[in-house]
Amino acid sequence: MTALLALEAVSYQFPGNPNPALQAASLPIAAGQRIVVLGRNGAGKSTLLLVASGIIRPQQGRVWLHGAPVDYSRSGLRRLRQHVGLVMQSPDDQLFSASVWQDMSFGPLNLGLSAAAARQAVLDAAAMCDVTDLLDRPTHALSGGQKARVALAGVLAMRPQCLLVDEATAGLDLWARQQVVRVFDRLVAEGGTVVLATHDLALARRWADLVVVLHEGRIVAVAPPAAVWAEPALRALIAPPEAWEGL
Amino acid sequence: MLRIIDQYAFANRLRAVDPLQKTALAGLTILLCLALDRPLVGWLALGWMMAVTVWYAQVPLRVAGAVIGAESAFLALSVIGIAISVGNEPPATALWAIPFGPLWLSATGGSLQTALHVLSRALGSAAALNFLILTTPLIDLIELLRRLRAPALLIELMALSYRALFVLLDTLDQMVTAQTARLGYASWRATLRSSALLGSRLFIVAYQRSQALEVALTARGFAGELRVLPLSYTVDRQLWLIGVMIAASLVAARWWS
Repeated sequence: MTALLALEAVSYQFPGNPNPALQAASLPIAAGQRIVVLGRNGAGKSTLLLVASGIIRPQQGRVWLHGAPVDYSRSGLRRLRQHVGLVMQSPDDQLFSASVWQDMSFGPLNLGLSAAAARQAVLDAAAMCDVTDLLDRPTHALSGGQKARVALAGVLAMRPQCLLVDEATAGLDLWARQQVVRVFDRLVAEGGTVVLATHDLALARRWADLVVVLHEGRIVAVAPPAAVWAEPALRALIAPPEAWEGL
Repeated sequence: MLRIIDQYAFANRLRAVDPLQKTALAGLTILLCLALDRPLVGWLALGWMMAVTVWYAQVPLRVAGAVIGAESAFLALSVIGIAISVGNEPPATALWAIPFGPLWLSATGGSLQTALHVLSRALGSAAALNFLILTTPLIDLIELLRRLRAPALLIELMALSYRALFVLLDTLDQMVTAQTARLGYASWRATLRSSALLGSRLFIVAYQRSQALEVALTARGFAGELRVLPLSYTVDRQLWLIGVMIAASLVAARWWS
């Protein structure tokens, strides 16, 4: 079966940094999966998501979308972004408009949808993320949890098949986190895929179908959570022993 | 003050009213204040616009009063320069004069009249502008500019600056709290040092945020233009009626005085 999105031996090194952020990383991403990316700070989680979303072009290797290599021309990237959405770690970095309604309409209009279709996409995404009552609110008057859900809704309004989420649940209280996870579940139930980079081990254990372990830019394991949890060497790469207690 | 104005701009009774209608009312009042050029017109415009802001838009009097009060303080400083003359000797027509070292501070009937004239016009116009800013969030004004076909670059810069302002204000608050917790403002010397560090750090944060924002916009298909759906508004017929009444009364005041 052709993967929805696939990374094939991709490498990337940021200018001025002696260590590669990503080294020969390969990862097939199928439809309908819950994938969690684990690793220490600087392991390459964010870079992996940036490469997968086409924001940065790998210096080596390829990214495949529906079995075809990603074309980095304007139209090729537009096609990629129709299918792959990226949610940033800090919603304040993502929400550019002072109006929730206008911010959410940005992505659909960029995909070339008509105003009526964009309006419907915004309303659907707002309903999915439970932010319909926030549509006429200014973004700067929202709480942290509301901002996170609006940022997520802004990406979901583009109706991506694959959602890449960069630690977007960090800093949220348990209720807000649960609301966001519920949105991920709905997306997966509708056939979508969520790739979540996080440090939340409990969430990874409970929620993921597949865990990707990154260490110093290399993917060292792609396995179900139970298999990762059972392997002390992998656990040592992710978090100190105390963090695993009770998980 | 900025946050308070913004808060009421979003929470007042006229929030959903078309910004074109509110801008037209404020613009017409300012135009009449300047064109009719009588102190009574200015005072009347001040009264009307305060009443519309407080009574009709339901912005609290203390907020509308604080805004016009702050503006009055600045205006008073300018008007004092018009009202009071400084010279080697007081003019013969001076209403009052007091010695100030080798100089005389004095005011004549004409200078006081001119000062009041300027003050009334300025306050009338300021009250009209206050009505607009206290009832209309900046996003609505940006939307109005978009409808009026203002250059896209100007609109995008305004929209991004407005959003960035609040993000940076939040960051600033957090930094000041962190500095205060470490005795960053415990003395004048520490205050100076902390303020300088704050300024430079804020610049770096602003730069980093702009980079992150660029990534986020690119991920959502940004292709050089910030395209968004228009906001929808209502038309308030009563406000049109109030506008006609204000205009008629200002014109009548011009002929009466």
